[in-house]
Amino acid sequence: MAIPRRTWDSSIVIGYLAGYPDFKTECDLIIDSAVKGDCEILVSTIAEVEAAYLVGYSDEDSEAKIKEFFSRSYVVVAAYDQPVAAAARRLIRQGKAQQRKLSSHDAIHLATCEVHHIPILETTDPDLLRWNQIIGNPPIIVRKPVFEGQRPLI
Amino acid sequence: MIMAGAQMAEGLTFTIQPDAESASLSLFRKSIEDIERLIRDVDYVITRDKSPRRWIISGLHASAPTVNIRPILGDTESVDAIARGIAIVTAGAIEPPRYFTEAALDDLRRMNRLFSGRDRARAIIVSLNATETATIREDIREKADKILAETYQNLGSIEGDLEAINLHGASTFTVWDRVSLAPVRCYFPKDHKWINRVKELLEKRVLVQGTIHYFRNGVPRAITKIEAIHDYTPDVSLPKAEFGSIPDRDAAHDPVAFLRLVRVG
Repeated sequence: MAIPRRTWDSSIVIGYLAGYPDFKTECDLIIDSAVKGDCEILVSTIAEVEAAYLVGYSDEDSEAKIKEFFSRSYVVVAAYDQPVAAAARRLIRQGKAQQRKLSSHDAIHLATCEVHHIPILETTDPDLLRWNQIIGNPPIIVRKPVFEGQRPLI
Repeated sequence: MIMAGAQMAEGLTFTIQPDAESASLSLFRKSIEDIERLIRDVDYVITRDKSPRRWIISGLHASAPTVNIRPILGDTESVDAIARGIAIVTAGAIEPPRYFTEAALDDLRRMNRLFSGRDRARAIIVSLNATETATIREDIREKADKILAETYQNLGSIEGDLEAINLHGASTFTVWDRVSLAPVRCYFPKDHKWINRVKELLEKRVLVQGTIHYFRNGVPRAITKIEAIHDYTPDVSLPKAEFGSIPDRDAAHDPVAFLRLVRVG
């Protein structure tokens, strides 16, 4: 039985690691459920690169923590490879034709979901949120992080 | 267990239709070998179990040689995947059916041998739970080749668990890609240095770098020209990346604005 998957874009990974307060509850609950084996978090390699811009305590400490996060058993890193690049190119052209803004980085996150059949992309980027249920079969849900399981009472 | 045709219902049924009036023993044996190879390769992707005892004959009918099989545990995922997959390939698809790897498509290509020579078959009818779902004919090689005609290859890497080292013929091992969950066949040089390195990493999480070959739908199928293989077992001594553990005032205030700023340099 395949474990349900969701994708986190760079804004969620960076917001989580840096401590963006709006994410704390949902992201901690999602991670707790992933630790229990109830879900997996897919991230693009570009999120792994962009995390390097975080200041942190020291480069050494930040690098060790980034390495730890991306090596977790429930964090699946998807490469920015040729199939993803081809899908991202198509999405950028589609966005231009529909006058729907899409940066190359956002196109990569969206294309990663499409190529790997991930039904949910979580982001806080308003440009990317506008792509909710626009592409994919079934349409990919683009939303802010949401934990859908049973919430702890306390 | 031998059963009458009317009693064959559950599971997968293969009916071998000979080109001649009756099927030779040789055609029956070759057909069973090819069917078994295909079933094991697709079933392995789903169950990661290569045991030959996972499948049993639940019916065998002789008038038109018909074999009815099912997994011993009664699980239906492999049965459905095999029936659906053969139907997709025989319909002339250009993308591989789910759970059909390069090895499974090679098995289908090889079935073309059943349709040549003196004791050849005219068709093999595939049925799922007594309903006919596909017919394998002499064009099966062309049908499988259509999917195998690759569309992508690039230098890259695949991360996953290393399993199933094979040193017969071309030396290969399998990596279970963490992203696509598909087993990827990796071809490596047959020398002692490589063989020992691959054996050391058996059942470990690894990252393999080389030329990645993809199916049209982006699922990796093989790695050739391997450049390196790394042990990617998580390092438990690393400090934990908790919420806010890499503090950054700007990123913590507005991650989207932070990203837009760093992306423009």
